Amino acid sequence: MTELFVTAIVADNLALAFFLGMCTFLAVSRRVATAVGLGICMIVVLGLTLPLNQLVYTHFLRPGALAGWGLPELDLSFLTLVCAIGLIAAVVQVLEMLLYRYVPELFDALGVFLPLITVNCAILGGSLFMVERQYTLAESAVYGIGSGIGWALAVIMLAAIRERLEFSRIPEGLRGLGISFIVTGLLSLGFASLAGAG
Amino acid sequence: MSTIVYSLLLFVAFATLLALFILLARRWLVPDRPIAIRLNSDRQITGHFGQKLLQALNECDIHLPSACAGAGTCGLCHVHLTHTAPPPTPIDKALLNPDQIRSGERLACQLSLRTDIEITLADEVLSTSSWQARVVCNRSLSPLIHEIELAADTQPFQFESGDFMQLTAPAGTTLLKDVDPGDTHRAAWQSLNISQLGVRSEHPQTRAYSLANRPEDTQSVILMIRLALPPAPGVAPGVVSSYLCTRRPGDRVELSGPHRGFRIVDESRELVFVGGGVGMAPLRSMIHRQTARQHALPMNFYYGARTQADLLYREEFDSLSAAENGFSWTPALSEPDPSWSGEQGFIHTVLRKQFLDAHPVPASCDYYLCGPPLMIRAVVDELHAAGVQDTHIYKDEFG
Ligand SMILES: Cc1cc2nc3c(=O)[nH]c(=O)nc-3n(C[C@H](O)[C@H](O)[C@H](O)COP(=O)(O)OP(=O)(O)OC[C@H]3O[C@@H](n4cnc5c(N)ncnc54)[C@H](O)[C@@H]3O)c2cc1C
Ligand code: FES
Repeated sequence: MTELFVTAIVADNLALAFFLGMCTFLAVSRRVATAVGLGICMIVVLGLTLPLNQLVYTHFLRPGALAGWGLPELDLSFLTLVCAIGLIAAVVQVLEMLLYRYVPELFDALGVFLPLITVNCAILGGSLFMVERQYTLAESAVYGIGSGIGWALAVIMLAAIRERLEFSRIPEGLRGLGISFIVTGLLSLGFASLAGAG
Repeated sequence: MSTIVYSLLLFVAFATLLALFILLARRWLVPDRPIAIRLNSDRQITGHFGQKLLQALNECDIHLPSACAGAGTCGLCHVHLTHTAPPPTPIDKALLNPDQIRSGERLACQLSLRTDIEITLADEVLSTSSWQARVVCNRSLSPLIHEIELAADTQPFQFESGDFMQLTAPAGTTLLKDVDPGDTHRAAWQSLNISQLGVRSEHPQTRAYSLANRPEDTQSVILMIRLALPPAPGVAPGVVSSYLCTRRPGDRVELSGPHRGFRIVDESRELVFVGGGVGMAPLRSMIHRQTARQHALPMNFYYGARTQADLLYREEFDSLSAAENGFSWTPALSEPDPSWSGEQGFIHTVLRKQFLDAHPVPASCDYYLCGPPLMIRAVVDELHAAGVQDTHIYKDEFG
């Protein structure tokens, strides 16, 4: 379990090893405060949707899941994708309402990127990896939270670096997204070097 | 076959569950509860959760100035929150200065009601009224600029020069073929070849228009409306300006105001007015006010237009200028025809040559500018070059 957790954060980092969820990653990494907020949202959404999708998958969708209902032959696993997306959308929507109610500043700061978490490929990717790697409920919870922390860590690090870069003299053509891609690549190298830890 | 049936059943059940879950969460998290808004600690109105403050006030017939109708670009709708103000939004920070933010001012169009609040409003805001005004007259001053006169709600109509009104065009379609260009400008209007255009709006739209009233115009609201032309082919013309230019006498138009606009700040200084196009409106009002008050120091008015047909109120200013009351006006045309004997060129160059270079101390005057953003920028650059400080430049941009 610990190994799964650490790998999910470092070597299998969704942002820096798989490059998933890049649009939000680059767009919301200009301020550390916002990146922290987004990071927490990602941890919550990944931490909730992975185990929930695991439950839906094992109890309803995978081949033979409905054997207890007298349908041992039935294989509904082709519904995995739409069910996973639906569930993620519902969780994000409720999260949106929670933030609107209790943390309006973060709600405003995240703007359109909050509902866009719904189609964030890091989150859907997490659920699909879970199915592919056949995690148990406990494993998917650990993997969900771990990969959420990993993604949050990556976006906060990038935001912290970008905040400092604002005051550096960067060649004109590289300012903004250009240098962010380079920093992302360097961060990715750093994380890859930790593979095998844990 | 059975797979299809079961997958449909399962998916429908799953989607229903999710919808139920969201509905429950909504009930719990986004309650449609009333929010109390206390005004100047003696009056209370009610808005509802999540609504913008500007909208809640409008619904209770309190009309804050707003030139962008809540889009968050004009910065006019600020209110003072008496106790605790919520953290400023990025738009608050962009449009209000740090002192205003620190003292608890926020933009009403950006503030979502989440808890009960208390705000302070100026008396003039509370007394601003809104009414359905009858169109008394609509005549074209130039091919694109109409002067529209609307019956005031109270007699006499109380206003200050520089104030503006807010006019609302209802949802619907406006066709430019309904514009009446008048006999003088009919040929020029037809050569623009735009009368086949039209614009459709799904919602009511509100825009700001400066008062062009002279002090003696106390029976009506006088506005100058420039038809906003499409910047590119295939784009519709402006919603509210098209609507207003097509109004006929007897029609009703919804408006509110007057709202506080820019004002003559220091009457003890020499005044210079610089205007272009429809920027004439507030300047005309101010100039008449100052001449009626017998302003002690000289007053100059530099007005830029393209052609003679675009020169508004020419006789009026000619006679005002001839009255030997310290007022003089200098119109300049950028594309004059051969019959024009006056100044030629852009107004900022004429201002420099005729006034700034000739005046002993240009920095001792106050400058009031109103017109298109490009003109204002060019004039401000000239003023800076002549050593005039920003504190003596007052501008109203119609951007
Ligand atoms: C304090 C103040 C005072 C003002 N006083 C006056 C005044 O006295 N007289 C006056 O005439 N105006 C005045 N204005 C400006 C006025 O409020 C309006 O902004 C103006 O009339 C245009 O409004 P509209 O609804 O007609 O155009 P809008 O519908 O807002 O459109 C604006 C422009 O965008 C163009 N457009 C529309 N759709 C598109 C698109 N898809 N892509 C690109 N372009 C598009 C339109 O063709 C038009 O040119 C004042 C503004 C302020 C803030
Ligand atoms: S209404 Fe224009 S900024 Fe609020």
